[in-house]
Amino acid sequence: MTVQASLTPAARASASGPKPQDRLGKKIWRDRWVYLFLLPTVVLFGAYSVWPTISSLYYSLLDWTGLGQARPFVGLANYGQAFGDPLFWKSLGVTMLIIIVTVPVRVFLALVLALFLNNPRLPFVRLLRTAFFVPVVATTAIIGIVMNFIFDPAGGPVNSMLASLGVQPIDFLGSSSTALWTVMGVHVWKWLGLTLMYWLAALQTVPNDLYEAAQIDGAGKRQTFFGITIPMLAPFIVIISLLTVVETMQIFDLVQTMTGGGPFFSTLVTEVYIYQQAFATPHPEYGYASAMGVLLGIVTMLIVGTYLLLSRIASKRKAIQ
Amino acid sequence: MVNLDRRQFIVAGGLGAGALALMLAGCSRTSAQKPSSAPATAAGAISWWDQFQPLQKLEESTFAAYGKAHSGASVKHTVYDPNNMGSALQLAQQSNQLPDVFTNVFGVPDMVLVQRKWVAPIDLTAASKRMIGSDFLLPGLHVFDGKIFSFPMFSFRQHSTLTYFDKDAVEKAGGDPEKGPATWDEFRSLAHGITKAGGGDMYGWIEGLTLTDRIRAHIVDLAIGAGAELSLVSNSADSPGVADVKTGDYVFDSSPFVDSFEFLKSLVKDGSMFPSSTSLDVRTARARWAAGSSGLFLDGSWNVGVLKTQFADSVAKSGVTNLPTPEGKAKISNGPAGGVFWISAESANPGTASGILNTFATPEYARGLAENMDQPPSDLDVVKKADVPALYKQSVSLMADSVTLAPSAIVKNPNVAAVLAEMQQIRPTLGEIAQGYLGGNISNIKSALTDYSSKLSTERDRAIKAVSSKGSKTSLNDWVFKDYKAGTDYDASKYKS
Amino acid sequence: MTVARLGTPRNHKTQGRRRTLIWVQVVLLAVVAIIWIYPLLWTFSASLKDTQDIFSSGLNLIPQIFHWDNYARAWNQAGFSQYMLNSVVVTLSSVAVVVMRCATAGYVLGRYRFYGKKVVFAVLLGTMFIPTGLSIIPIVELSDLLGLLNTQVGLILALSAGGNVAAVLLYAGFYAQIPKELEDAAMVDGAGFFRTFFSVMLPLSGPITATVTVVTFVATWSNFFVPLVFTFSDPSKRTLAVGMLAFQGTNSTDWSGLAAGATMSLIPVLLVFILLQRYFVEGIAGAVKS
Repeated sequence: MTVQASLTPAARASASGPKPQDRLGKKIWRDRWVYLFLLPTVVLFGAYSVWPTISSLYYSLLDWTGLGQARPFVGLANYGQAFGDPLFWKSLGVTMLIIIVTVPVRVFLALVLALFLNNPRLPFVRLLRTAFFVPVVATTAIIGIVMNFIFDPAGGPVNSMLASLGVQPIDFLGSSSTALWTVMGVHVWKWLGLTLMYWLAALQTVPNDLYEAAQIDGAGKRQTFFGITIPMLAPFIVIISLLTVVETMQIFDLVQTMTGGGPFFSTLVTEVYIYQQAFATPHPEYGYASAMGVLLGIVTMLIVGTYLLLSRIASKRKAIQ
Repeated sequence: MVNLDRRQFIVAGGLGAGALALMLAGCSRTSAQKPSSAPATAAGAISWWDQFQPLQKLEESTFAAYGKAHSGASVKHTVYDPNNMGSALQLAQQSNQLPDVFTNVFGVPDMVLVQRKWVAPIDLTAASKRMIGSDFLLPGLHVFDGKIFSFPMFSFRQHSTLTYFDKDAVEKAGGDPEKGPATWDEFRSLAHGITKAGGGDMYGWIEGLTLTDRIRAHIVDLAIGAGAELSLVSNSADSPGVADVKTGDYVFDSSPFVDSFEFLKSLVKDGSMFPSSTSLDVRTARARWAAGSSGLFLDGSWNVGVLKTQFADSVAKSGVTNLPTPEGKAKISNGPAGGVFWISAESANPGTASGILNTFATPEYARGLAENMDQPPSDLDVVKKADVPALYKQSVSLMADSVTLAPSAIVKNPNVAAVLAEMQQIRPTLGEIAQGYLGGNISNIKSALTDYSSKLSTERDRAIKAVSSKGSKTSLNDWVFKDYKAGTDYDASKYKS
Repeated sequence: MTVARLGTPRNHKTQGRRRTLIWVQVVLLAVVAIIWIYPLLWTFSASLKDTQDIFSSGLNLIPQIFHWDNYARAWNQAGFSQYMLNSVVVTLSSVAVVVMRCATAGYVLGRYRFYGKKVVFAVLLGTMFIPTGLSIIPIVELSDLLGLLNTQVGLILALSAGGNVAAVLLYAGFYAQIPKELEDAAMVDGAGFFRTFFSVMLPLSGPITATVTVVTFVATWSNFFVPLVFTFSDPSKRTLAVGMLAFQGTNSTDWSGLAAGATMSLIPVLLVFILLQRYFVEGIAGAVKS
């Protein structure tokens, strides 16, 4: 038996289809290479992602401080506690607001930048790309300290600029009405480079020959852009915004170092609240933290599901038109 | 490779599976791999975690000296950021990797460490015991079932609300640069004057409010200064361990507390508080004060240690006075000093750990502590003789003259620690309420505090019941000290009567 | 804009105008870029100041006295030379594991139909949404059970074996698009499954690999909790992110040391980005065509 015969590229398989008399064992044997390729994922991902997920589900049913052996089973009590916990709801609201505001801004700004920076003939283009990427790799611990200076109400650069425009100094990080917006701004600043990188990669999938064909047809710049570039990028908008949403749901480090969730809970995102419940409290409640983690996961899934559904409906409607 | 046949495939797959099986079979629990040969008494390598960055050099030279005298003894010392050390300890406990010696920043009362058998007794020499003083080794805090598990190294005669001030700024604002503010009114008008003279570059008062434990400590100190008579389970106890001394009730809505809140709020209203204080951590606030962003700063004596190492110029420019009180007469009390270092029950070398800890209970080490200007050492006289700036000596003597020992419910009945461990955290906490009130999110402070006190009381009642039902005797009466007289030390002898 | 390069210049006048336009773009972008990296310039300048200078000079980027000794302190005293080496080893290994694991899985998920495929997809997506912060305790338990706690292998596995669902999906999406002819051609040349993948498919996916590498590199490099837990008993195995701890104590922070450490830890990640960035812009399109 040669390896060639066992190859089942998707295209081929869909053409001929598995014969009904094929038994399961036979099928599996035929696809053994496929399973061999999956083996690392099954073993590693199973142990380091699936297992911890199952564990979290289990912990969420326990009354467990995260310390010591005593951890009685309490069923859904932790979930009940979460539903009645105003701070949990508050934190979900803050997280949602951050997503609603920063995800579109990040995805759009990064796309605009990527369109500029995709031009290899632009002088210093590599240097410019690198500049926008640097914040992504900067240590969060130092960002917290630096931003305190940047937004310093007494003589920081932002307020100095505002003062020259005649605006009263704003306590960006210290006031509960502005802290959240400041954190969002810094969040976008820090991570824009990553989204930019996604877009630069996505732009490469637009084949050059499409442009060449358009040019032969005498299409102008604007026409090419709206006729080719944008439609070709459309599927990536979905993927890139999804990645960004999931990443933003789990926003933690930056908030923890910049405000610790304050002032007075105004920047309390769910991950920070979970961390506080699990570790940073005189009375750690690991079970409760796990339950909130699971709930956060469910909420993320719901958002992503809704988003996918909407984008599918939208693209269908477009197709009909 | 091209025509890998069935046999080759099986070999390849088998190799992989075999390797996996080998891996699984060949390894045993990391945590079970204990060095088997080291006898418990011999000197060996130990790991040591604490958060005392200013003391790092002192500690490490002590370790080195011990290693020289006891061949084989060595210490892997890690200084943690206190914000991270709690979670690090928690994760270490989870994975059976507690260091041999650590400070209790778990957040749980010390007794819980003993109850859960995470810690082992210290083998203290008679000389060490004499040095510490038997009055300061207390049941429920250091001594459990007659065995000593830890000991205090710092004096209880301390608090974290001394007023440090920039002499020039105070003078410019019309204050006395040698005395500084004593009353709340003086503090307020001085802060206002400094802000006015500062023209937007310097403010009256700066505070780091991100970590709310700090403002809680200030509030409790200010309330005691304003006449609240409280029992405190230990040195700068968290609010569940702070109760009215005569009734045992939580009285965070009593007038000394409300007045203290309003005093701080008046500084905010005047525009005297450095604006981003709510988003600064204490370390940054301290540095900003030293660099001239504000004139007044409330802090403990360790402030001088930090200034000396990082802002040497400002030591001479700074003055210190006691915490501000309504009348200007600082009388303050503090709970008994708790144990500092704990030895892990899992330690393979408890002998080395005890040996080193004994060297921490010597006059030489106390002198070292004084010279490093952190919290004042138990023996305050050492500070007088130490070669340290006058600012530090003055800070310590201010506290020595004004701080008395408050009664502690834990010392009265160690089971109180179990009650505290059982109590769920009530949020917003006292510190968070302060953050919210100063930041303008809470308008009615009195009702917020009443709400907080009553929730805390309900939770304590529940915890007392829960603990009692497990067979540990405790009641609200453990929190009541009818014979306490404000301004006197409630020392070990008082508990016996 | 991107498409600007496509038009061929018709005459000198438009060419000149285009050149002006492009320089206007560069200048605008450069101004934005400088504002963008200002906070990091500040960090760099703070790494050369002493503490007093950091807090009193405010926005002035030029130090009064250049304190290169901050770097020496971080490098020698705070142990950054060792931490740097550890970080490099751990991160490179993690990237290798992630790329291999995700590329192989993405390849079969994107191109093949097999029994259990839907289950694999469902499980991958299902775990994507659970916050990762809490997985630390089960991972520690598992590593302890396998005897891998406190070992570098255990640390690398804990950092690389889980998660990265997005990478798998990226690879799957990429491989699904590759025309079948390419594979057929390889087979005509006599290449089997293994060789088709390693000598044709994997090299083709360069841009995806570059993206996954950079994302994994950044995430691993800055991960804090996992390396913290795996180096409890042996501080000499710490990574840079954990090593930063040493600069922050109870009462004070060694700001200049921290800034020096942060600057040093920035450099390797930037190098990776600079080396790999050409793949983001000169990649797939050409490769697929040829």
